[in-house]
Amino acid sequence: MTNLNSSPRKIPLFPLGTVLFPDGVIALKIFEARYLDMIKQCLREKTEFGVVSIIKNPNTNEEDASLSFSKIGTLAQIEDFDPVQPALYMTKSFGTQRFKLLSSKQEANGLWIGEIALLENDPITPIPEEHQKTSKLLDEIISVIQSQDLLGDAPFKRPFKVDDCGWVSNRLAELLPISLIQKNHLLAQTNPRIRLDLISEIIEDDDLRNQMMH
Amino acid sequence: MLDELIRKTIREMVGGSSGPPVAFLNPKGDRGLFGPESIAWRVHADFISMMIGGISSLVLQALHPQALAGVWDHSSFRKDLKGRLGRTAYFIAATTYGSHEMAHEIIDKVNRIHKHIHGSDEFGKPYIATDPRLLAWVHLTETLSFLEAYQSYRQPKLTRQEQDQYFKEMKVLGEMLGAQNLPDTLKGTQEAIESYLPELHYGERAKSIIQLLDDFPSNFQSKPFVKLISKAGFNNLPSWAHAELKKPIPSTLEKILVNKGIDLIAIPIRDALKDGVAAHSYRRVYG
Repeated sequence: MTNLNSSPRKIPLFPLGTVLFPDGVIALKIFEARYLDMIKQCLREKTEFGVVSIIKNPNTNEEDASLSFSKIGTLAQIEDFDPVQPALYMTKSFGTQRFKLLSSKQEANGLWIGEIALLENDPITPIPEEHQKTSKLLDEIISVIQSQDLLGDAPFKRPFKVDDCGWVSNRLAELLPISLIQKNHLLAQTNPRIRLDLISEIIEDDDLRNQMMH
Repeated sequence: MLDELIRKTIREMVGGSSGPPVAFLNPKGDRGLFGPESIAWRVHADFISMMIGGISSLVLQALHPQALAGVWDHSSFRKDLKGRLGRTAYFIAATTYGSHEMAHEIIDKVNRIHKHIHGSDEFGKPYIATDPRLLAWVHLTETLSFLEAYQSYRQPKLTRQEQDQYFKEMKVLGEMLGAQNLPDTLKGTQEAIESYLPELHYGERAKSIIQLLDDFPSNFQSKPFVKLISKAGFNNLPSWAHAELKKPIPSTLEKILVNKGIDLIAIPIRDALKDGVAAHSYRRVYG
């Protein structure tokens, strides 16, 4: 899938108020015409769409929504598709590969098309000693969900790579209370080991700040 | 299918009987000790918080040599942890939600049993189970543990005023069991607990109780679930207790992660248990 040498390619964009991480699961309810068309096309052509975050910046010009798109996004592959009504699809997709958004342009139907360059997937990186406890805990949570047969509703998708920094840091970034801006910084961080370090720092710093405020 | 598995695990955990709790349906209109508007009804209805709080209160109680001695010498606790948890769960259910008669019956029974319990702790110091200071220790640690668990695992959280209200309500129950001058606020409860710190001891007996709790999950078919609940119980301890147990204070990340894990399983569990004691008791009061 990693095809970094190819020239920039164009993909439909789904700007959201959240971040999709590689191997993460995202459930989307689709009802706007532009996205119904996009999903149909992705299914027909077996292609992916791009999830980018909308980061509100008070200084940007409201006229151009694309100015608030995050610079890094993730490709989403549709896994589950349920057309409950002609104009209402329940979908479940998962993140595959990160990309850099080079430019974006809106089409007549309102759909944004992004010109992107794919980013390298995380190298497999073992969990360092200081994060072993956290990855073990994540593993235990996944076991509970599996043993209670709740995987269908859970934000985890096999394979569970609990001994890999990239996979663990991405799942933690999804689960933990981290701001959208910080999540985007985490997504942009190419070293999975550093991403894992940053997550613990963000959580412990927040805690310190809360304690100081109370 | 899932509902049944959860119900089975929970019945197994507290050793309770099967079937709906019909004993709580009568007599009609009886509001029991607290009534449906009480905070006690709200807090004690949340099974997940009660299991988590139950584990932390057992840990805290084990740290007091004399409170522990009573259990050590006179209860089947060490052989039958499930049974003991089941009896505690029944006591809480009957006193919180039961009719006046049901509540008084179990309180009298416990008071009668306490009269016969006395001996010496592991240091040879004599104790009696009717000692108000020991009864207060059990009451204080239990109420604080339940409340802290509720505040961590249930939304919406109680306001400060509602938290104080909980201690005010529970003070009545604690004093019916022989404790005296119990605090009626959160702050008062925390301070009262801290006044016991010099008396606490983490010795061989307490260690074996902690070991018992650590091993507890392996008795279950749904071991991962019980293990997560048990971990949440340890995270729910006040920070001085981690030092006392010579365990590292859990990091914020660890706490939040356990919390998230519980959240992910809480909805189906709460759903499976929705027609429990509290629901039957509402029907008794309101028809």
